[in-house]
Amino acid sequence: MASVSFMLNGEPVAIEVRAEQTLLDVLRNVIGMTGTKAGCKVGECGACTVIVDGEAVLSCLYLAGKVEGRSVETIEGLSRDGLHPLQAAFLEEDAVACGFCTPGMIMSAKALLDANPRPSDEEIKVAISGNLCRCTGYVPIVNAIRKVR
Amino acid sequence: MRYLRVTSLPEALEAKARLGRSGLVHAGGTDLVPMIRGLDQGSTILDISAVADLAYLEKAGGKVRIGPLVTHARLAGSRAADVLADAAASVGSPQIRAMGTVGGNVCNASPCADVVPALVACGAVLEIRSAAGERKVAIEDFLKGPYLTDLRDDEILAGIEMRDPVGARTAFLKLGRRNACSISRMNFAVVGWLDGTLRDVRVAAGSVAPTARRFPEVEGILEGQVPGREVFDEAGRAMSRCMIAAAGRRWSTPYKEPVAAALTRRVLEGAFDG
Repeated sequence: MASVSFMLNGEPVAIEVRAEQTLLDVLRNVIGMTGTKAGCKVGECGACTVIVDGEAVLSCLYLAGKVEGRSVETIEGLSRDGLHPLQAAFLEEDAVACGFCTPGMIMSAKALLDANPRPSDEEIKVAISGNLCRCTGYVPIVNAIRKVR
Repeated sequence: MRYLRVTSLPEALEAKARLGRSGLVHAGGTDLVPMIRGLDQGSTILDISAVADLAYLEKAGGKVRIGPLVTHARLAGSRAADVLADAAASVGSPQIRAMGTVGGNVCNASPCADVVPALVACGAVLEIRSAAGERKVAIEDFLKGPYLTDLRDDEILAGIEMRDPVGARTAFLKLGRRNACSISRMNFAVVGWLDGTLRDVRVAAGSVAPTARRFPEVEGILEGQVPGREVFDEAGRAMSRCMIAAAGRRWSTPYKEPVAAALTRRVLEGAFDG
């Protein structure tokens, strides 16, 4: 076991984690925040995307021990004062079908907009290129992100 | 399984000396984390990701020096060398590029690693450290086979250094099954000079032989020639011959033979046309 302290959606967290435990497992099964989805668990689908120190990363490949001293944002951190503009835009643009990819997709979009508030369409497409969606065909998702830029 | 986080290079070297083979070095985790699932309980994850001494990226005095913890995203956004930036930008997805490191790409030694052929074409030299000392190895000599390297049990990759390819024409080309989040089927990196004729052209490729490496037969065809379709096609045919000589005829050869030739021509056109 290793002890880790980090900021989670602006709140301090201190927990014990197992050596091989991932941030995804800690978020969902230790802390109980199940908004972050467990998809492929090998880094190919992007459903588990969270933001660490401003960068979109895959929580399924991110060792929990490595978050020591870092700042983690999950989908739960976005909607504490009502819907985040990205969440509202996803609803308005019908960018959600089954919804499984949505939290990861929104976190990738948020990391982009935090770093680059006026991205081009190409930059939007690159930013979500690590997030698979099998329902929407991506067009409504790009439209939703475009609406917030 | 145990977890050990270190924050300095001496601390990392001391731990690796003590742990030896059972110390699994963790940099970005994109290859290591899926690999350790179900692994034996005696191992220790030696997490070097917070070692600030290994995250430098410098271009000065005719050299480019890359710390092994530099991420693909950082290398892609840097002007360290265009061919390295292009190769790093082609790795995985934005999330993988934010996590995965250049040192990890080298030490994992996957035959289809994207940054490795670019480093090979640049003539990169690796600085290997252990608690007992330091040695330097050319990257091509470091790669011993698929997922096999020259790294000893007590050693850590501590730096990557190369001559700044000032004035060089470069190109990187990757064949994947799709554009995004794709593993290379083949990749090619070219670094060379053009002063009317081709000079010191280095052609490296990944996934066409057991390790990424240069192809002297291909380079020999190009040396001293005026760039053009004919000589690039000849170089492409030589690449296909070298690939078959290195990897044998396989089920995929009827596809790969013309594709390796065409992609070699295209990467050369990318470097030297226009």
